[in-house]
Amino acid sequence: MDKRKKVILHDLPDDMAKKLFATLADDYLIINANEKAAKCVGCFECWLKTPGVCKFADKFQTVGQAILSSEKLMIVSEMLYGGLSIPVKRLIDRSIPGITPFFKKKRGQLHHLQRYKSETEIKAVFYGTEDFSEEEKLQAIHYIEAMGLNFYSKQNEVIFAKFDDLGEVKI
Amino acid sequence: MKTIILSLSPRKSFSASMYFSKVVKLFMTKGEVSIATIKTQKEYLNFEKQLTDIDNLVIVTPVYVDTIPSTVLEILVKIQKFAQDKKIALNVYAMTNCGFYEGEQNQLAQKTIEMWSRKCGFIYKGGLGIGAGVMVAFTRTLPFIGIAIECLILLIRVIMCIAAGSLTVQNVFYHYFPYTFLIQTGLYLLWNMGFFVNGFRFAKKIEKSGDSPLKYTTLWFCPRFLFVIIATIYWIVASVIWYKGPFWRLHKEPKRAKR
Repeated sequence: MDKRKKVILHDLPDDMAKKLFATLADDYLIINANEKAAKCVGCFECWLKTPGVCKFADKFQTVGQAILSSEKLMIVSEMLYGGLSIPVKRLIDRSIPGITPFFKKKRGQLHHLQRYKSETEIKAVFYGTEDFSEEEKLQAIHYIEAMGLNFYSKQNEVIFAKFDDLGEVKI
Repeated sequence: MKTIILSLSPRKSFSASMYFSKVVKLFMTKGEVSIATIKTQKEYLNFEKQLTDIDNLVIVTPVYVDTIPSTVLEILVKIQKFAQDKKIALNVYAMTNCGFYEGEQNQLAQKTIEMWSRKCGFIYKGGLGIGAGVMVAFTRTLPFIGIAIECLILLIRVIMCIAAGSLTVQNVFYHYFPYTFLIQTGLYLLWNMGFFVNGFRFAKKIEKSGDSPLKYTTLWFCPRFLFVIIATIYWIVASVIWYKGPFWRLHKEPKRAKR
């Protein structure tokens, strides 16, 4: 993973990704979650044995560093049960080396301490083929809020779109 | 009543979800209760066969980055397809555990399982969200640590008696009392009390297929500041003893990207 400070994490089919992100490749690190990736197994080695680095030495070994040290993080994900799709969640699970195992109190609850001294801005675009229910939308908003707290985001934005309308979403 | 407790932690060993599953199973004295895991396709197919024949399904999962892990999502999607095809009706209970102190941080995971249940055509009956899950589950080792320390104390006494040429049972156990073991066991029981009490109520609701409105619990008799101190010590000790890791770098950026 390179050290570009703007990151797009998506699960879009290749043709749609090319259409949306073609002009952004120089400024953004574009992470395609559909590529083969190991799954987090909750081993804690990334916290305790090799702090900051996942034990699975695949393409996404340092995805946590890319996400947690970014200044802008855009997540484009198909919605599943009011949350992220399986491929995107797989990489979000793999991002925990980007934080430390230690705790601090934030807004009345415990959260992990930062490993990287940067604050990001999260923009999450949830897409699907059908209209979302209000319950799904609310769950997605709460999820991104919670993720924002743990990822030290200073600003969160959540957008809902139909797959065919993704071209109209402002990146 | 037939119940399957489906323990879905991705961990291979020492899983907190499995500990919570076993304790809840222990509390369920009526009906037919079994624990299932899905680590392989064979296990999944075996679980699928049983799914058509049960009344209650208890989903037990850890929380990774605010909600359920991708590995669990994969299994839920498979179950959804099967349940929709076969039009299965059953009750779903969710027992989730997160590493943070506050049980309330399980809310999103519980809601996810509730939404999944509806898509499957199942009835979500409620759940239990356990805070400080890693620590609650780790405390089950405390009595064993206590036994190990007591054995060490007795071994030292034996060596000292041999050195003094006075090895008798009376001398070895002279003024001996297993304080360490009792303290460690006491701490285990106290800190797990929240889970025991709420887990017992949860188990009794499942036995009757009754509603179990979502409840949260955490370490009892351990305020948040103490939890933070113990957790900090735990991470450092675990890094040194089990992982042989550089404990002085646990909070720092990695030196290089690849090992």
